[in-house]
Formats: sequence, structure tokens, C-alpha cells
Amino acid sequence: MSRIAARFKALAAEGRGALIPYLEAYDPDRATSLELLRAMPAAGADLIEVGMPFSDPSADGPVIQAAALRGLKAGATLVGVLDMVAEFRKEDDATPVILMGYVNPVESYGYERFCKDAAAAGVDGLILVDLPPEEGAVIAAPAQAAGLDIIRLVAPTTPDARLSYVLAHASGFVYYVSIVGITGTRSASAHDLAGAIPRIRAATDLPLPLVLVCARQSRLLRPPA
Amino acid sequence: MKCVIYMGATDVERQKPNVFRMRLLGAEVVPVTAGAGTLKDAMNEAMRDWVANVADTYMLIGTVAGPHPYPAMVRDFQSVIGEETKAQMRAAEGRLPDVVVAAIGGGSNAMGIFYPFLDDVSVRLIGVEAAGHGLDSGKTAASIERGRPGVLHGNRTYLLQNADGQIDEAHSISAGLDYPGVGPEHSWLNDIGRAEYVGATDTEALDAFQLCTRLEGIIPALESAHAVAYAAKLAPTLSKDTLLVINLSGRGDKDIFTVAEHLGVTL
Repeated sequence: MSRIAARFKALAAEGRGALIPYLEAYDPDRATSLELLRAMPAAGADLIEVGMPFSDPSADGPVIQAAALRGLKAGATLVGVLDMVAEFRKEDDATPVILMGYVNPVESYGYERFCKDAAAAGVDGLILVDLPPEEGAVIAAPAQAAGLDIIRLVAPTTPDARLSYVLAHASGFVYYVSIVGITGTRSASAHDLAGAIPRIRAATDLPLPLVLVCARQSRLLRPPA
Repeated sequence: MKCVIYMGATDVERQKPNVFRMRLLGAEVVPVTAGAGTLKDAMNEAMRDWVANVADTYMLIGTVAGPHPYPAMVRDFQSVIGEETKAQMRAAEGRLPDVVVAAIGGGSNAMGIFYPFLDDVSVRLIGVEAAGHGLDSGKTAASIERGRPGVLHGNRTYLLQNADGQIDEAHSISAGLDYPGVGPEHSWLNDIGRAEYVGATDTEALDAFQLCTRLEGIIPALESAHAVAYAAKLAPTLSKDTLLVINLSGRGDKDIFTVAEHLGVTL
């Protein structure tokens, strides 16, 4: 069983939702972000998303844009990000790590080589924001061969027909964007979610964490069953 | 209907007359300071606005790049240029042109004039990219000549990028050509050899800007001046009866401040 599946199974047994924080690699520098990454499980992270800095984060709000820029200035590369995960894995073999980013650096690295190297570093899943399922064949086979989950995004604007198409190409869990917009701008209301979750739930058995924005204090919600 | 225009802060500065015109027409022009504050950053910001407001907002892209179906839509609209060129050339000369030269940033004017000639294989199609300080200077916008294939803004095309797949900032004296990508159909025309892609530097464009203004009494846009520059180089190598079309895609009134600055003239 993959780390992601094992973790969600354990969470289900405990009857609680997953806390999945996001961390931009190399922000503000490699050492600090590695330290933050290492501290996350003890601080309550059940899974961790590590952002791969990209020059043109067109789906991200100002906070992650700035983080990506700082990461790049600090020298972030995919090789460096994978190396960070490998170091994290020396101490933690249970917490799933999902890399999140944009497709061009991965294409540049080479899909097959990237999947192999990511799996070897201890990465469990990939979220490539600007790789729609129609173009996903480039990574589907190498990811599967390497045992990496391809986590797909769905949004409130995803129509039902598209939902089943997207989910047919998803594994690991489903990333429900929960608002119409870019990252970090606002959170969905309980009312929005109460309407949305049953629709997605009906279309997949995969775990369904929600994207929420933490402003000053953490606002952790237990997702409705 | 509300109209919001995202424009790189650098471009807002060097395209002041256009910004003023847009504001006079009632548009809200939002300067984008991310990155180098040019076209690629404005494109990112427009996409962010669109995904957040998709229910009541239409996104308009001014070039033949971006996610499908924008490259095809913009090409189809712009193709009136090529259709008219073809009709007028037939009326004036009774035959097709031999060479068509157009400047390329994203490539909308070039795509527009090339498209109706694609099946007329006797017509040489030449796209002139902005070489900036020179094709090998590292300060260029020549995506086809100095880029490699990648994915940005929802299309796969030639991109100026580093070894890690991070997108480089482009450079051109001309705001309209200052983009590290190019419409995907141009990349394809390049790969199948149907169109040729060459470069003209900032300096060559400045010279051509002045040449065209003095000889023809037409002030070309700095974008179009790149096409003029290459045509002026090419023309002496062609026979006298060659029909060569230059696409003067824009007027240069908007560029006189930039040109004056580069010529050391205070207005």
C-alpha cells in the first residue's frame, strides 16, 4: 500500500480528516525550508505538499507567487527539491509527500527520469497544475511505473461530465479546489462545501481533502462525511 | 460592459499613449509589477483574474498564443489581413506575392497575413523575431530561434527558458514583441519548414523605423519596424520583379517617445 493510501486508511480508522499543509521548497532558502519540512509531522501534518518553485505560477495567488520567486532566487531546481525530500525521508518514512508545481520544469527534466528520481527520493504523488488530463499521457505511464500517484484537481466549476473524466485519470486523492479562483485568496463557506462535497463524493471513492486558506489562525474544519 | 486590461508595468510606461487611449475609451488599465512587468506577467495576471471570475468574465487574448481555442480564434480573426493582401495583390499585379514579411512576438499579425497563403507554396513566408541586443546576447525575444519547446500559458511552443525549464524574461525594444513564447502554430510552421524565422535587433529596428518614416512618410510601429529591417536586408538580394509584402501591422505614433529616448532626443 502506498504511503498516501496507508495514511488515509489510518485517518479513516481514527475518524478524523487529514491536515495537509503546503510548503514552498527553498523559501526562503534550502536549509530553512528543510527544517520546516522536518518539523511539520510533529506539528500535526498528516500529508505534506511541497511546492516546486516556477517562474510563472499562473494559478497561484500573491503569497505563493512571492514564495516561488524567493525559492528560485535561493537556487531551487527540481534536483534540489528532490534532494530535500530525500533528506526528509531519512527521518520520516511514513508521512506522504506530494510535489506540487507546473509542468514545464518537469517536461524539461524528462517525465520518465523525473518520476523515477522522485520515487527514489521518497515522493508519493504529483500535482501538476497546468497539465490537464487530456495531455496527461506524458506522465501517466512513468508515474504508474514508479508508483507515484497523479493527483487531479477539480473545482466548483467542473461540470459532472468532466468530473468523471478527470477522476478517471486521478489517483491518491482528489484535490478539490473548493473556490473559483487562485490559491490563497479566500476559503469556501461551510454552505458552499455542504453543496459541493456530495457531488464529488458521488463520483469517486478517493479521499477528498479540501483547500482552505489559513489567515492569522488555523481554521481547520472537519470535512462533512 | 466593464473592461479590465492587464499590462506589464514596464509596458504601461513605454506604451503611455496607448494606455491613455485605452483609458479614454473607458478601460481600466491595471499595471502588473510581477516578474519583469511585461507581457508574460500580464498574461499570468489576466489568467488569474479569469479563473476567479469565469462565471461573468470573458478573457480576450490579443495574440495567437494561450490555451486552445485562442490561437485558432485569433488567427481566424487576424486572417482578414492575409485575405485582403491576396485580393489587393491580385487586383494590382494579377498574381500572388513572392515574399511576405511580418514581425513576430506572439505572432498574431504574422499569423494573420501568413494563414491565407499557407497552401500557396510559391509564397515565401518570413517571420521576423525581435533579436533584442542580438540573438546570442541573452537579451532577446527570439523564441523560435533561441528557445526550445515547452509548456506555458496553456500551449506547447518554443519558449525562452533555462536548463531547468524556468521561463526567461524576454527583451525587446518593442513592447509588443517582448514575450518569451510564440504562437504554437508558428512553431509548427517552423518545424515543417513552411515559414522561415529570422531576427532583427533593436538597433536594426530603430534604423528601419527612421528609414520607413523618411522614405515613405509612414511611421511604422516599432514592432513592424523589425519586418521593415529584415525586408530592407533581403530586398537587394531579390530580382527586380519580385513582389515583396511587408506587413505594417501598427503605426508608430505610440513609439515616438521610446524612439526619441534611444536617439537621445528630449521631447
